[in-house]
Order: sequence, then C-alpha cells, then structure tokens
Amino acid sequence: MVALLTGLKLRLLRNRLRSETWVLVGLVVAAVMGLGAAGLASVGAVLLSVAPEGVAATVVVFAGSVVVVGWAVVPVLAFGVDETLDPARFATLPVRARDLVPGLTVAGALGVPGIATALVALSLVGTWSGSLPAAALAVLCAPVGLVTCVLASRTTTTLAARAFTRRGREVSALLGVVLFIAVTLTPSLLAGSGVGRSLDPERVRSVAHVLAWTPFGLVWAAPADVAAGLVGRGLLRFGLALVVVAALGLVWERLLAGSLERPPATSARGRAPSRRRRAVLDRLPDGVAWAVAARSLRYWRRDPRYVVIVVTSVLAAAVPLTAIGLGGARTALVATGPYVAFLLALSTSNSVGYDGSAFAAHLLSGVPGRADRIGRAIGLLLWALPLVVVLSAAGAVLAGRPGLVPACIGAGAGMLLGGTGASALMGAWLPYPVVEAGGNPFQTNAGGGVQAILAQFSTMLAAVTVGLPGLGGLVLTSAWLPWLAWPTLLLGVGAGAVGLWAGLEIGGRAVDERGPEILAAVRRGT
Amino acid sequence: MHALQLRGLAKRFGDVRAVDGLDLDVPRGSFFGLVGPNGAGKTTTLSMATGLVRPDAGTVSVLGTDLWSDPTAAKRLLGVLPDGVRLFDRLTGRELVTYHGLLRGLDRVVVRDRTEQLLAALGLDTSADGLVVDYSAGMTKKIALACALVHAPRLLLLDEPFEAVDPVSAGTIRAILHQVVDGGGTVVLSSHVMELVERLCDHVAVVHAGRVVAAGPLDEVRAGGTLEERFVDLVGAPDRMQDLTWLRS
Repeated sequence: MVALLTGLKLRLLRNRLRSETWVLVGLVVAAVMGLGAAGLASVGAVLLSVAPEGVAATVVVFAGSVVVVGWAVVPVLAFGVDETLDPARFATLPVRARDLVPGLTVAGALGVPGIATALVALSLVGTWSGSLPAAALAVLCAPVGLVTCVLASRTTTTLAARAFTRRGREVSALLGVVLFIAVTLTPSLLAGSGVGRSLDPERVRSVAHVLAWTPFGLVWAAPADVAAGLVGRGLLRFGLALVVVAALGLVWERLLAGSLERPPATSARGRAPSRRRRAVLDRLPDGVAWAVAARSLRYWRRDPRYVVIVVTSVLAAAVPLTAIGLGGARTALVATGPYVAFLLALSTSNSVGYDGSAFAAHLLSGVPGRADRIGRAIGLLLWALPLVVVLSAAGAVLAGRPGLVPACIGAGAGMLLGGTGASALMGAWLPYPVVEAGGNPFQTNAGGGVQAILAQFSTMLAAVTVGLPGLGGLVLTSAWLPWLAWPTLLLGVGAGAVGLWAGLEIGGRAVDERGPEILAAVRRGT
Repeated sequence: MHALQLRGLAKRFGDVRAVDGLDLDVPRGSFFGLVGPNGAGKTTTLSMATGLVRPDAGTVSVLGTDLWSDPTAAKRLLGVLPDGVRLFDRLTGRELVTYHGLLRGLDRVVVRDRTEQLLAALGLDTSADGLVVDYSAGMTKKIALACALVHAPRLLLLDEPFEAVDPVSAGTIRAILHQVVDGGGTVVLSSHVMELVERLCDHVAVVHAGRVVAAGPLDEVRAGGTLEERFVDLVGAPDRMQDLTWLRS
C-alpha cells in the first residue's frame, strides 16, 4: 500500500509536469528556493556544533518547534497546498483508514517541504557530532521529526476540511494572508520602531526550555540532552516523541476514517447578501457598462480574492511607510496615497483572469469591449478614488507637509486613473489564468507563471509612465518648488485621465478583436 | 434560410483534430438533437457556433448572419447554455439572471419581470437570494438556462442541458423548450442520452470524430430502428465484446 500510494503521487506529479510547462518551472523555482534555504539551514546547523554551551540546544529546539508548527498551520491557512492525494478521493474504495495512513504519510513527505525538512533534520547529526551518543540519537530523531511534521500537517488539514464550510474556508484563507503579511512586515516594523534591539536572549532561552517539553520540541531536544550528558532525560524525551507520533497517527486515522465514511460536504448554504446593499446597486444608471460595474462592485465584496487585494494593498502600503515614518523619515508618508493607488490599479489588470471561464458570459452576450473595460474601471474607481484622495491628503498632513496636499492628491489620483487605464489595456493583451475563488490565494500563479510576471511587469511600467507627471510634480513640489502644488494636481489628474481614456479605448478594441483568445488564455489549466 | 448553418468547420488542439470539416444545417423551427460519443467534438462545435472558440476554418451562419464577421448581430439572436463554463457565481440567482439580461442591453424593467417569471417557472424562486456558488449541480444548470433565455433568443444552443437535472425539473425544462419551438424559435441541444433525444427532437445529427456522419429528420436518420441502434452502427462498437466471465461470480 505504501509503494502504491507513493507511486500514485509520483505518477500524478509526472503527468502534471508533462502537460503543463509552467508547473514544471514553478516546481523548479520552489525546489531551488526550498532546498537552497534548507542547505543554508543545514550549514548553520553543522556550524552550531562549535557554538558556546547551550546556544545550540536553544536554537535547535526553537527552530525545530517553529518548523513543526509551520507544517501544522500553513496548509490549513493556505488551502490547496497539496491535494494530490486528497483523502476524500479514496472514499469510494474499500480501503481502511489504517491501511492508508503509512502510505499517505510517506507520500506527504515527498515534496519540496518534506525533502527540505529531512535535509535539515539530518544535518542535526552534524550539530551533535561532538558527542557520539548524541549524534547517534540525532540519526534516529531525524525520521521521527519528519514524520511528526507530516502527521501534524495531515491531521490539521483533515480536521479543517471536515470542520469548515465554504465560507469558513474562505475566511481562514483570508486570515492566512493577513497573518502572512503581518509576519513578513514585522521585522521592518520592529526595526523601524526599535523594539527589536531590546530582544532578550535570556527570554528566548526560557521559551526554548518550555518548548522542549511540548510535542513540538521533544524530538529536537532529545539529542541536546544527551550531548549535555543527561542521557536519561534525552531517552525520556525520545520516548515521548515516539508517543506523540503514535498519538498523531491514531488521531489522523480516526479523522481519516470519518472522512472516508462521510466525505466532507463540498458546498454549504452561505449567508444571503443583504437587501439593503443590493438596493444601492440597483440605483446605478442603465447601460451595459454600468451592469458590469455593479457586478464588479459585488465581487469586490463577495469574492475572497478581491477582498485579499484590498486588504493587502492598503496594508502593504501603510505598514512599511508607517514604520519608516516612525523611524524618523516622516516625509515618506507623503507616498502613501500614490502607492496604494498604484497597487489597487495594478491589481485589476487581470480581472478577466479572475472571472475565469465565467468571462464566457460577456462573450456570448456580445458585450462591447469598451463597455466591458469601462464597467470594470468604474467598479474600481467608484470606491478607490475617494479612498486614494483621502489617503493622499492624510499622508501629506501626517507627514507634516499640509502644503503638499494638492500635489499628493494629484499624484495619487493620477496614478489610480492612469494605472486603471494601463490595467484595462494589459488585461486585454496579456490575460493569464489564476486560482479559482475559494482556492489558495497564495497560489497566484497557478499555470500563469512567466506570462503572469511579464503581464504584471508591463502593466507596472505603463502605470508608472502615465503616473510620472503627477509623481514628478510631487517630488519637485516637495523638494524645491512649493508653488507647483496646485499645477501638480491638475497635471497629475490630467495625465491620469488621458491614460485612462486611452487604456479603455485601446483595451476595449482589443477585447472586441481577441475575445475568444482571451477566454482561452484564462481557461488554460482549469 | 436555416436557423444555423455550419460549413467546413475545423479546429485542432495541438495534434488532435477536435472538429474536422464539419457541415450542419439546422432548419428553422426545428427541435434539433446533436448526438455523438464522448470526445466527438460536440462541445467544440457548439463553442465555435456561439463565438467562444475561434474556428481554424469554416463559417457559422445564424439565421443568415455570419457569426464570425458580424458577431454583435448574430449573438443577439443566440441563447446559449455552455458546458464546462463557470457562472459569475458570487451573484445570487436573481442577480445573475438580471445581469445576463442587462448585458444583452435589455431595459431594466423588462429584465426584472422576465427574471421573476423565469425563476418561478424553473422552481428557483425560493433560492433566488442565495449565491449561485452554493447551488447544487442541477440548480446551477437551471439558473444557467434562465440566463440563456432572458433575452428571448430566436435560436437556443444548449450543451447537455439535462445533465444532473432531476426528472421533475427536466419536465419543466422540456416544457419551456417546447414553448420556444412552438413560438417559431429553434432549439439545438447536445446529449448522449439517445432516448431523450428521440423523445424530444424532430431532427437529429450524429457527430463522430469531428464530422457529421448522419443528419436529418429523426425518422430518416433512425431508418426504422431505434436511434441507439443506428448510432452504434454509425459510430461503430468494438468488433468483438470480450466476455468478462469473471463478472458473473
């Protein structure tokens, strides 16, 4: 059974690689990055063997626990990381959960994260090479640690798949994105505010001491004990680590048996949207473009992928700028509005990709390309323009440069208008497929790969070009020529409006001419 | 003049000739069934006949209008239920049908009336305020059909309209399609359920390997036998069915 399931996983992977070049590229990139990181970590682990007394144990236990928690948490938050062997697919076969557990565990370890973890776990033998018994125990601990990781991740994902409805899954995916941003931005925030400098090594050590007795740290702490001469304690921890693996295996088997008997519901009744909001949208003017705009506005609220865009755009701009501002360079806050405008405008460049095959409705109805482009632009601008104007003005005031308010609004609004135009154009020229709603939002480039990067890059270039008069005006005003504030407002908005008009016109024509090709491009890989 | 006329239609995907010089005439006012084995090219043919996939060669004429040279005029006459295409499923059922009506450029009041009538006729009025993403497969088919009908098309092209639909709803859909034909409209549907096509359609075409191998009035095509017998004749069953003796345990 183990060989069968492992073979199945490898065969599925091979067939996918054969049919989709971009998946191969993605896998190679992931492998290079993952194994590269693992290689660095392994070198670090070996170097720890010459570190002062106690340091190696603290670092290993701390890092090891983080890895286990990562295995358990990340796949839940980022749904769809690897569903090649989705347990629910075995529901129709007469197999018992007990027979599946070993095979699915081995198959779960086969992959970039599993191989990377195995590498690092084995390198710990090097960490403890100073003591032969400790090194020997580390050899035994490596597979136990890896199995702990895989079982932890399988248990949590199976649990989550059973517990959550569609809405629950979407909310958790959204939380995952926010968490991810928070984690990636924390260092810059800490550095900016100076908190990081006061991190106490003593506190880290006491945390590691506690972790060493938890299921996350047991297996990593065992060789450290032996290295420190505490052979009994080390063996006790190793025994407990085996108990943890057995317990996880049992829990997962129970859950698996549950999902084999009653596969999780694929759909659950969600909450109906409120009538009040719909009433507002029903008051939009008549016309095909406004119908598209109303649909687009609903999607900005109801499609988790769009909600992610709004949250990330505002956070990604606000957090680092605030950090820089706190760090003393308050003037940087002037950039908030234009930066948010830039991110929001670019995020709509692949709106047809977000529609996926649903775009067929526009094609079948013979929606004029211009109406399609204008509608999507209205759906964004209706709420983003006020937001950008407010953020631009607030940025200038918070930076202590109220005189820059008009120039800031000029740069921000100009960037939003022009960027929306650039997106309308590039979205028609270079559409690419994205993950479906409800999928894993971290997998942005599923199938899109290089074309997605090319599209995003050219959209960026076009947006910056159109936004240049406003941005340049803002820089000139703030540095040398204060009297340029009001002209910059006119210049920025003017250039943006021209860019918007051109983007909508040319983009609209491209949609008319290339409708079926656009549909084929966004359907690829689905 | 034919409701739909396909001439020399061809499309290849890589090395596979999905549709290979296909000709088809659908008379006006007919209830036309398109049958064929899996992979025969039915969906690709319908996609090219509705403007979703650009043909490598050939022409599509909808009630005398060339679809690929004057898409706007031709698409106005067409109502389409595509297969394997998502809907804008973050809209509620009511919003989705309304959206399709507005995309067709209909007046808002007209759209509202027709939407309510379609939802009621298809038995979707109780779930009209739920998101389409939460609908069952059968409900999704029905809401997609409502979207295809809202602008009163003269020619309906339906890809597998009865798939996943329960018998009661199937009866409702049949009644609606008969109304379209009785009112002078034309219905083309694809299916691989022969009994259904035999019961519903007055004309039929058999598609095999990207070509039409038989077409015409139902009685002519089945030539005395059942449609299924004729279909197997045309498409060719495996020469000798191996005896799977071990199945009789």
